[in-house]
Amino acid sequence: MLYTTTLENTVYKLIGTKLKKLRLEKDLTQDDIAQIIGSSKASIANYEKGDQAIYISDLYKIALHFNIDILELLPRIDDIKNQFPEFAIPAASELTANEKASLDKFVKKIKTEFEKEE
Amino acid sequence: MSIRSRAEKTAEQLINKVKTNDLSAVVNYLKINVTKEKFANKISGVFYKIDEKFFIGVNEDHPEQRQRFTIAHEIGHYCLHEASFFHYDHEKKEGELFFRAEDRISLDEVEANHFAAALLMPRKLIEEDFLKNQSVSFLASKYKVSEDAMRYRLINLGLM
Repeated sequence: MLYTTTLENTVYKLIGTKLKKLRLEKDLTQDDIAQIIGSSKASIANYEKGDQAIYISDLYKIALHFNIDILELLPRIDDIKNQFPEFAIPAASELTANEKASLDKFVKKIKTEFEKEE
Repeated sequence: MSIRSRAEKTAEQLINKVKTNDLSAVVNYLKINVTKEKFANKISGVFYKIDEKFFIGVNEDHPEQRQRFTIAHEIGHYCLHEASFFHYDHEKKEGELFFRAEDRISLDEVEANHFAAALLMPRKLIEEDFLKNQSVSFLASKYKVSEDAMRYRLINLGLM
């Protein structure tokens, strides 16, 4: 099986990675975080692995404790889009004149070389 | 089949046929003519077909790792979207997905990116190497890809 990823487990996994990184930066143990949140070490381990859906209130407890913005604990939307391209809404874009010119030049060059070979 | 698994499978089949994922070997095998070009900055690469000849132009001003990703991406178009004629790859800004103007094509671009990742960072090799060394920067330099590309690949393979 190549891909078994779901949006849900990807989101919790990415949050878990951020939590773990923050904890290690602060040189703390899972027990320490459990005390801050008021939960068990096992829960923190599961949060960090993304195996357990973290309560939003727990995220706030962590953000408040470390005096950081809650957004720092959440995955960036681009990271989610990368995992789930179907959510990546394509931006409509037109080529600028400059861009079009450089492509036309490329095509012209190939055609010229191609005709020479004939 | 999801576009991701189709891209993954196609890249694996190609590597098996060529017996290596070396980019120049793959290009030679497919008889694609790759040239470095002076493109407008936002154009990463072009895949062009005339009669039965295939050309890839890559922006020579972009960093080497990005040029490799672009070439692999264009090979993805060759392998996956041979019916489409012209691929302008145009990047909005650093770090964002490739996209094209029409909705129909944008999924092709995403699929070509997955193909490129699978070609440059084959699943089996990455899984083996990851057991020995988990450093993203080490793996990125070994596979000559950007650290972002390697990080996304590791996440996609469920290793991170």
